[in-house]
Amino acid sequence: MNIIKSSYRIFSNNKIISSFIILNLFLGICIPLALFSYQKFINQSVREKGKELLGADFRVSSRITPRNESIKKIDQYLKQFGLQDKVELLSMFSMAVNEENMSLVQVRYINGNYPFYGVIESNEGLNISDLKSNEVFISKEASLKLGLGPGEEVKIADSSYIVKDILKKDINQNIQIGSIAPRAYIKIDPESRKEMKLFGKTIFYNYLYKLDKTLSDEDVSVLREKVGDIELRYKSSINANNQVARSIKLVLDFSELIFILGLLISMTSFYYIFRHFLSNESGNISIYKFIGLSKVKLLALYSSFCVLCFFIAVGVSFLVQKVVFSYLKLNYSEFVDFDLIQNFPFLLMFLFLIFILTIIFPIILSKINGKSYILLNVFPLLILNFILYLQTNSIVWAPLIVLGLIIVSSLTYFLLPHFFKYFKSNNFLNSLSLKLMLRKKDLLFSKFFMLFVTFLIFNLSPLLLDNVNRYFFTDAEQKPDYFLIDIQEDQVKEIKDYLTKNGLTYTDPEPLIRARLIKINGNDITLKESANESLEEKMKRRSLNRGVNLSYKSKLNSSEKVVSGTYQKKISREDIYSISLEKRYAKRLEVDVGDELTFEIFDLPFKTRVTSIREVKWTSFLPNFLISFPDGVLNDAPKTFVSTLKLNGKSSKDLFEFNKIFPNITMIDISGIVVELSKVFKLISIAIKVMIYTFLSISFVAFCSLVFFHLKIIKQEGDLLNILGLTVDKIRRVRIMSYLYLALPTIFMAIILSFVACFFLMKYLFMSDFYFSYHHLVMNIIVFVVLGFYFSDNAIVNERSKRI
Amino acid sequence: MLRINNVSKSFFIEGEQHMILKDINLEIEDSHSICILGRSGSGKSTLLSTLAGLLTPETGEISFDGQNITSLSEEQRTNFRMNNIGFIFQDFKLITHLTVLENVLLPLELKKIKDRENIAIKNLNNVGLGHRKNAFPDTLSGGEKQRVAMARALAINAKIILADEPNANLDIETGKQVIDYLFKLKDELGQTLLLVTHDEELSKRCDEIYRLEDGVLKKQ
Repeated sequence: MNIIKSSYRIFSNNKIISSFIILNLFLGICIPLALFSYQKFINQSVREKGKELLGADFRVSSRITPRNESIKKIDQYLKQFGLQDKVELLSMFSMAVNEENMSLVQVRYINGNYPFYGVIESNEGLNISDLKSNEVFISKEASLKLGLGPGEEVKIADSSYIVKDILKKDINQNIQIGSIAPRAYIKIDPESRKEMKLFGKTIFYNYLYKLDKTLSDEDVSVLREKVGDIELRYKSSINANNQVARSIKLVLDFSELIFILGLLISMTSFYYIFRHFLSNESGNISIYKFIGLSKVKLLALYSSFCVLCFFIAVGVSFLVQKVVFSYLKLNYSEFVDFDLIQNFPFLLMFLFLIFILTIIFPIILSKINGKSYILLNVFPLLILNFILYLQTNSIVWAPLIVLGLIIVSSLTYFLLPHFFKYFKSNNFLNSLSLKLMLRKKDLLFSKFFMLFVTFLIFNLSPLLLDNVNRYFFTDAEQKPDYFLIDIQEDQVKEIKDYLTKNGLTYTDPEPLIRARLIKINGNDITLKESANESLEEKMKRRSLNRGVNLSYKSKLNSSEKVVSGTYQKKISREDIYSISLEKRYAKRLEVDVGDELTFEIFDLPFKTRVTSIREVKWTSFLPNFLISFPDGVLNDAPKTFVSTLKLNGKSSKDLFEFNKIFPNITMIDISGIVVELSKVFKLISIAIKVMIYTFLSISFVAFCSLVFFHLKIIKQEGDLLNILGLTVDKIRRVRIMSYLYLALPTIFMAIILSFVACFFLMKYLFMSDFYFSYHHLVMNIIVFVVLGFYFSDNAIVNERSKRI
Repeated sequence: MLRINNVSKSFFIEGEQHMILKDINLEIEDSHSICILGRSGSGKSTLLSTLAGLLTPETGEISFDGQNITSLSEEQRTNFRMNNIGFIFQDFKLITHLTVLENVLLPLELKKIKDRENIAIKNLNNVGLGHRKNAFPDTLSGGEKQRVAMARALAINAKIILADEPNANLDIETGKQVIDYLFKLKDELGQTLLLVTHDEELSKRCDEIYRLEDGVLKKQ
């Protein structure tokens, strides 16, 4: 007997069931496999963006002259990461002067071929390496402010330079308020080095490295310990930008979650269908046995059928991916370099095949021999463990997940029938409904699991989509092009009038006051080093001792939300001032609502109490402050104001005009960095949405498979009940009751869990706020109830057999 | 008395009309046993389904004790089946999710018969399966399953037993035992038996034998 040929016969004789098996395998395994490669690609793309934002693979920086010994240790350590190049970048704030015009600029002295990644380019397409020793690139904002163009002379610090060109693109931009200014790039030479020495402590030292391999957070920790120099700060390209770093982590964590859940759902559905398929094949199996086909050959026959379905699913998956990625390549530049074959995880695919075979072996064997082979289920669990290990890269998480699955499944398997027994009824039809549902623990478990997970996902997915959208996207109209800083108090009204008149969108100028934190809950933050202080403690002490920017306002802007306590809008009559802290800053200080902080503001101590913690949506690019006072406390303190500006299609001519009227105001073009970060967020958002939609598709197919095959089983029972004398209406009632007994508690539990899961996902994975949305809930309940009634009804009216 | 007058039934298969039953006429006296012989596909099961009111004939009528079954509504036909007809199928048709006792109890519960549990147990004892009342059908042998099906059919004290090749899926020895039980209980309870088979030996145990060939019923 030709096994391959016979397995094809089985396939062609069971077209509907084969299609369902293929669909489940396609969605449950092949799509997650595609996602896996897609995620790898997204991850890589996001990391590349991180490199562009830093301009290098790794950066070491210091506010004081770094010790040679420390730098040598770093260079030595980085050799194992394939050290290729190193650049020195020194920056400082200085005044640039052109005749009567002056502007504060951030001068960046560069020694070497920087940036390694991304672009710093002038209008004429020149880059840093084209600069001679007496030449400078200046930013568009500085050129506007100083009224300078290429070839003109500018005095920066004590030296004169010729403006080589105006910067067009500077991806290596910083958007932290308080440390931004228009930029000027100069090459380091002995002259400029001499000049910098005069400025001493105001110089910020950076060493930028090009490496073959990116440093992980763990690698950076090892380096930090090894060097032991608390003055040095380290930044790997994966952490080039906090949002980018968080986004990478988010995609990785989220895709793992989808991968695991998707796999479990599809495999449960596959298990259910395959069992049903083998029940239908009982007659054929008996005949095969009767004509003398060995058990091994029978096992091989039905396994070959599954292998055939698997490879058809893989083939379909390839075709679909080819089409989808061709579309993505045409419409999204991020996908141009994507190579499907190169990124496809073939090893994982092979493992999935083995996984499926280990799932079906016990089912086939028990059908052939009429015995149960529970112990054989150890093998799929072992393979699952290995797959999860490959996915999570953790020898702790993979077995923990498998163990958790075993415990939860076993408990549910044994407790579920007891739970439903509470619905016991004296009514014959209700009792029959319950009996039909409760018999066969494994089928009850499969049905419960599938319904539960499907309901869960149908509620969780729209909730997550809603929350993810809120997390990643700010209304495009709100995203600014420029930061306006150094606005004086008496200019605020005038500027607002000017911007309104000229059709430029701006955010309400917010006051910026410099301060220093001096006490936490009455304890001094000392600058002195204590004995036995660890490196971490030293670093924490130093980070607390930095100057901070604070503000005051009576109402929060659109990107802020109070997550704990109450925001005090106005000054209270108490002798202690209320303040609001940004969530992560509060975490860094290890303080919460009710704690007391003392700030030194222009030599005066201000004792404050934290009355609220705010979550700030940093992706909005709006001015935000770590510390916010209520209106009325600091109104008389010396301050400047910051605002943002959106050009709304206006040209730099309008900005030139603005600059002429308000020469003291510094404008920083942040449109480049906003565009670059927005691209990263878009990538991440697409990745997460694709995962959610895939998850939804898997669940939907699994649910339809469940309903379809469940209908086939109950149809046979329905026919018999009708022959025995149960009217169609009563059979319908039995079916509906049976569905409701199972679906109602399940949907209730699933909905509760979907909200809990979404809450925790948003809080701990996305580190964001949870937005409650109830309309999805209502919609899902209606859909599922209607669907349940429809299927219960349809099974009886349309499919009732008319013959014995 | 069960009377069948000029009953015809056809099916459309792949767009073509196939006449399965052609002008069937039959009268069965109470407590009699009738056997209908015929090859596979000769229409035996269709005749049983039509007699049970599961299928409606295109022409003719079926009456039982003077009541025209063919003119009844679907619900009335279902009630008629519940009160008058017991079925025995070749593939047993037991509900696998219910125990042996619950399977026998099912038609009694539908008829809301008092003391049903005792009746069910008595009928199970009659077929020698009282000790397996809490077992599930999956754990029974073929012969045992057929005996449960018999207990279910006889428990409601149906006036007519329709048996569709009751020994077809059983080995010779088990089949013989099952048929012995069937005739023994039928004689005890005085029920009418309409048995469909292609087993010539079995047919000899019935009072009358008919043969169904190409939709036409002929007495032998």
